[in-house]
Amino acid sequence: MKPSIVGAGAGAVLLLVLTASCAHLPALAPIPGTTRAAVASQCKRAFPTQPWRATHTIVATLPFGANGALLGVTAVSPEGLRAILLSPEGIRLFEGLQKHAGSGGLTILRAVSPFDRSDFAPSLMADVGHAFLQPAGEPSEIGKDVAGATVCRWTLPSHEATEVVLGASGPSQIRTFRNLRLTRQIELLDSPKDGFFPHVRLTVPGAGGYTLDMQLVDHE
Amino acid sequence: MAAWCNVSAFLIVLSLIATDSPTPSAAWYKDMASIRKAAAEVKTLEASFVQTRTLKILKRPLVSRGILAYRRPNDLRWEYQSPLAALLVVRKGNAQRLLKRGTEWVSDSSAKLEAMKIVLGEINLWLDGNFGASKTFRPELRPATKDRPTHVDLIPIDPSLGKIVSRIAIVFGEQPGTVGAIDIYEQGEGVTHIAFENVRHGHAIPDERFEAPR
Repeated sequence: MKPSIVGAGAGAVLLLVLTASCAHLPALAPIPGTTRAAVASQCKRAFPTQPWRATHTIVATLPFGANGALLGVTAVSPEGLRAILLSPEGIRLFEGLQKHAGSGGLTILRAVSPFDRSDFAPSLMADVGHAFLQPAGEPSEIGKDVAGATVCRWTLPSHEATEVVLGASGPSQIRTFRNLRLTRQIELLDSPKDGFFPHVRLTVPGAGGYTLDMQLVDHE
Repeated sequence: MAAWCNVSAFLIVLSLIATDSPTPSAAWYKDMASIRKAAAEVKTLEASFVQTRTLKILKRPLVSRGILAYRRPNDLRWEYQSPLAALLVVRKGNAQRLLKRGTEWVSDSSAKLEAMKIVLGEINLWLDGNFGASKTFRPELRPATKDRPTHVDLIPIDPSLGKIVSRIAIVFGEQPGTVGAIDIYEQGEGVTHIAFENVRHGHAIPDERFEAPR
């Protein structure tokens, strides 16, 4: 039987999906003379020790030259990750609670337009979670990346991965990937105080991408 | 992420208006007509403010500081200096909202200025102390009690606005022509308290104070 064009196209798509799902980030090169535990310990310093509460100013650089300023309050406790966005005047525009895995999903406690868009809450909680919460367990890989930087990599379900990049004085960057594609780059700037970096810059690449500059105001 | 909300722009303006509206004195606390008459005497005003936001999940309140300038009939400057640097200037009815990114002031382009202009029309009524003509808030003058000085409660008329702000209380200052504090109440979650300090009025304020930094 002669295969149809549609059938061939569907086959190509299937092949692409399979390729993506089977693909991996480039393997990390071994680092001679260091212990895995020591490097992992350094990488974990990218994230504050739980439980914690923190307040940040957030300056957002959005697509098409738009800018915005907000105050962000985040907290991690046994119940989960809570994130609140306030206008400069202190008005609560958004509040969400992402319960810890296995104990429930995302609860939106308040969302004022335009923060009530269906895709906003998951996106915000993912941004906050990736910037401030250590992935569960130990890194699945530790080594040098293609640029020669020391990296801890956590491979996560759903073809996701989180990497912590170490600089000369400790963690300098967090990167997240989905299906090999860079989804977030989080720069950890200035010297950390009590586990919190004074300045965190989160960039989501792509056409609809944005940058959030988060300056630490206070933490408990 | 959508980062800005016209509601917040709206509320900052509300705060401004409220600051400038009443001119307190024991003589006019008794009714709205007296408030309106006293408010008309305020030609210019400058003050600093401390904004304290309490939240259930925070042990310590979130404190912001800034300055306010007003010149009759409708020139305004409301500037947050810390921790955020954000600025609203209104000159001859044209509003601009800016934020500081690094050392540079940039336009807050999502501030929905058209919506703000609508609000500014409302504000002018308040600047005249004419709370009763507002189509957005229903004013209620509250006499002093042992716990609270004389103040005006502004109750949102539109229920959808009421879900964001349940009421705004304007507490009169001791000095004629000033407001001591503004309290913005949210249903079920704390209050934003704005206290004014170093209030000066009646002096000349240059045009540049009401223009975007260059």
